[in-house]
Amino acid sequence: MGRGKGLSQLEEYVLLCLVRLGDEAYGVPIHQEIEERTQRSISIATVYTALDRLEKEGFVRSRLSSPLPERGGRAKRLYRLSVEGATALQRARRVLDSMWEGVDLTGEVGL
Amino acid sequence: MAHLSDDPFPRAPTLWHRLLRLLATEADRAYLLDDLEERFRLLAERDGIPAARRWYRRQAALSLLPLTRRRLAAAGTALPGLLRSIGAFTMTDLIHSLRLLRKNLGTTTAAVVSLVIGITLNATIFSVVDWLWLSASPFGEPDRIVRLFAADREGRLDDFDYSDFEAIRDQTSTMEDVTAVEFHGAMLTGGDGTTRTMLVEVTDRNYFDVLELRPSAGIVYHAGDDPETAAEPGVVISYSLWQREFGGDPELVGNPIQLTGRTVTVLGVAPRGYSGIRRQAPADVWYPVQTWWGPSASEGHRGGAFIPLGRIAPETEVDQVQAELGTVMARLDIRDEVTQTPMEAVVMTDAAYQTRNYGGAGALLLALVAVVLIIACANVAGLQLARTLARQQEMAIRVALGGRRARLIRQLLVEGLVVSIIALVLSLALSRMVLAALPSLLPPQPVFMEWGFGLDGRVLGFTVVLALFSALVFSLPPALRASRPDMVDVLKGNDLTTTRSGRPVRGLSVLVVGQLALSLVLVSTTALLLRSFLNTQVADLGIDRNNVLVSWILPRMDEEQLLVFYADLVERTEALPGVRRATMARTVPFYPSGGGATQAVYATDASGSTLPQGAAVKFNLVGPGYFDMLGISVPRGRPVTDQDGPGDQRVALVNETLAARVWPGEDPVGRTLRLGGPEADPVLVVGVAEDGKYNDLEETQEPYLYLPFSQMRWGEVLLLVETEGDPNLLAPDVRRVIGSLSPESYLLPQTTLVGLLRDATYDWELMALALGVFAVLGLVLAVVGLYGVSSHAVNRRRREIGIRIALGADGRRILRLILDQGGRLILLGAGLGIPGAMAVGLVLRGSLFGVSPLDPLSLVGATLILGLVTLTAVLLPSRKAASVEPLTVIRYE
Repeated sequence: MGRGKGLSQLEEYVLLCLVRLGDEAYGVPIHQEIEERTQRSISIATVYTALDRLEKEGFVRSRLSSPLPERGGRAKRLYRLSVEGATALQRARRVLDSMWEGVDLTGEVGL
Repeated sequence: MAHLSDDPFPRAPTLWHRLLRLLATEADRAYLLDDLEERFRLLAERDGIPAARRWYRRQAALSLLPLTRRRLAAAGTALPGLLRSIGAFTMTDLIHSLRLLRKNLGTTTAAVVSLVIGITLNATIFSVVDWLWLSASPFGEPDRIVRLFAADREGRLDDFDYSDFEAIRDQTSTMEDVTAVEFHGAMLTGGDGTTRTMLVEVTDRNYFDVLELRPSAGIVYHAGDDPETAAEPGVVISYSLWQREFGGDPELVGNPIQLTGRTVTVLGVAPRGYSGIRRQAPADVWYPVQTWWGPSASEGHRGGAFIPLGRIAPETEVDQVQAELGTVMARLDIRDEVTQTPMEAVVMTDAAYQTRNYGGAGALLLALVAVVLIIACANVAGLQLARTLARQQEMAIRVALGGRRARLIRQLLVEGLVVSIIALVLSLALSRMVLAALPSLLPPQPVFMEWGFGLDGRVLGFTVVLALFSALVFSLPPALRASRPDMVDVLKGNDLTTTRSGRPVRGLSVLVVGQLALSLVLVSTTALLLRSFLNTQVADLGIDRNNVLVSWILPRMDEEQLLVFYADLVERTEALPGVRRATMARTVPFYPSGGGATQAVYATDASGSTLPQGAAVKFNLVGPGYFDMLGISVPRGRPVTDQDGPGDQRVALVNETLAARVWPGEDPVGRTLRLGGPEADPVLVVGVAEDGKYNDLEETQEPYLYLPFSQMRWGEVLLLVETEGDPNLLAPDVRRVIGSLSPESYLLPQTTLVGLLRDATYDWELMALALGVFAVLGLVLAVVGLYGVSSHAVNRRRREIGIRIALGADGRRILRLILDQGGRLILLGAGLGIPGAMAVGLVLRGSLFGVSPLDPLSLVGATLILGLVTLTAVLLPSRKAASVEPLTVIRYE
């Protein structure tokens, strides 16, 4: 039942977040970024499910950070975009662009 | 990074946090939960704690399903074929399920409500039982702590004299150390002059060391305290008392408090949550025995009721301790006080002791709520089955198009899982509310109770497992059944929820019959316990409970003043309007304290006596009019009168049992007894009082002695007042009289004889109440199930019924047709339920009072109630069927 090398919308969002956040991306900022930009509540577990699959497909790489020397400091799993992930994102962008080519919504259905 | 606000450290909602921890896999716990926590703290700083808590709850709710899925997927790799493919359900399954459940909002609601009733009840009861019975012992290395008892021939457990305890402590080697505990009541005088009663554990000085309990503030007393310190009355108080009465004031440690007229120093505070060695009767004060009793405690003080607790030596078994205790007891020649037969040694670990006390009731409660949950699951299974059968066309098409069976089963299981997760969340919220409200919903407690139950991690774990297990129970059978569609029937478009003869398919009938049988068991068990409770209320106690107000007084004056005080008290009280008469007594039946005091009885002028010389016989001191007021008849001789004054001939009344033991076949009136020693002055027996119960409803008939109140001094006394109307109304007046005569004296909240009896039967009342609730819920669930199935069946047969009516069948015939079918199910259910109920009755034999385990009234009554209610459930849809308009139906088709 694999979904091949395609990206779901959420996975696309997650990859874009990694680009935006750079090297220090981990669960909290990714989740926060998606919630704030999409104005939707999603569960952090869903974000991790997406990250897990992306890692399995080779689109992201993860590593453990050393624990922070502060109260509540802990090890974090940090994620970054892989070359394959960047390619997949570009492909997705191209698909979307080509779908949008020549489409003009002005005047359509009252817009 | 923004500086995190330090104290108070914002805390995520505990319940949700625990739930997530429970569901999450280990890897998720490490990152995902910490991430949630981190964002929670960031939000708390930005938007405030309430907003952050709201966010957390929302996040947690959203995460439940994905987390479960991740969990199952992680576990799935270890599972074979079918199970793995079920575990690996996809978002598509989930969305499909949610859509279907929303489409069938009616059945979904019915299923969720049924499950919520079942799960909430189980979570609530489990949390109570867990607290009383299963929860971990508060002692350090609890497996090594044992309780020592002396058992009589009937296995009843008894405690030890202090001197016996000392001998046991010194003469045993299988235990590292032994301590001992005795229970007493005490009064704490607050700053505002009001008094509160509380339970005191009077203990040996090594108590905290043997049990390995560390104070949460201040210090505790030790065996090795130097004699100077040990002579000062210093006590340890409970954390709960510290918080309740003193607001957790740290200044309290080292300062004095007033305890029943004594000034004692608070040394320290016991561990938080620790309430002594008996969980159901929490103690608030720990008091060293030497300062409570004075030095006599350690100088061979006879009497007392001490429970020794020992710490077993390493690599020693409980059996070895018991054998050694037996030897020591034989050497000490410890005998039963009344029968004078040697006592057996009994040694129990703490866990065994909890099981002995609460295991029976706990297991019964858990079993009965499990029955309610099974009924609820059967309901949901019925609903699922009816719904999935109605979806056979979908299934058949999926199968025809090559859909795999495992995939179909998975789809149905996911639906079940969704339903039960919704029910789980609602149930947890509901049981939290129920548990919070429970103490105030219960009948008023005889003693102050601190309820230690709540939704802790164990309860949560239990509930989650229960919900997931229920999901499997109620959705697997329908899933298996429905994933094998009968292609021919489906393609012909036949109705699949009824067989060709129009009856509901077998699965549905089996469910309904099972539910009815289980409900019958529930209802009849409830009837048995209810009857036991009612029997305790009318039991022959040898007392006539009328309007008697009971006021406990601890006078503070010297001997000479006392007699005048008592005489004035009775006279002034009798002068109050609404008072018939008043008298004094040391105690009354079922009074919670003072029931155990005894006199050593020597019957020197009785040749045929079967009572051993020096037997300890319980006694009461009673004033004139006592027997009349309590309705205790005196068949021979005379009661205590005004003539029995302090300087007159010492007299006594014996109860019928004592008379028969000492003077079998003879008239005891005019004979004498010696009390306290064989050489003591003789006491003249002037009458025989009828037998009764003295301390406990279940006690066997004991010998008993009544002595005139004025011929013996006693510290604590009761003023008994018989009133014209409600005795409670006169309580303030009587209090005022006592206060005006002796403002110094201590008083306890007043009670009545009826109130005392109610307290004595509290356990039965509680059990009857709990079971009543279970039975009603079980019955409601079963009836809803039956109603659902029968109205479903009627709906499906509308066309047939329409045709029948068109062909001339009248309403009554149609009614009979439907009733016939429902009636058959009811009969079958009763046929299975009655033997089940009888079996449960036999198991419960020990917990019944004055009612046979096979009590026909309970059985027949339960069957009738069930029959009546379920017939209604069948009748309602049948009436609808009988009023079918044939034209409408046929045209509709």
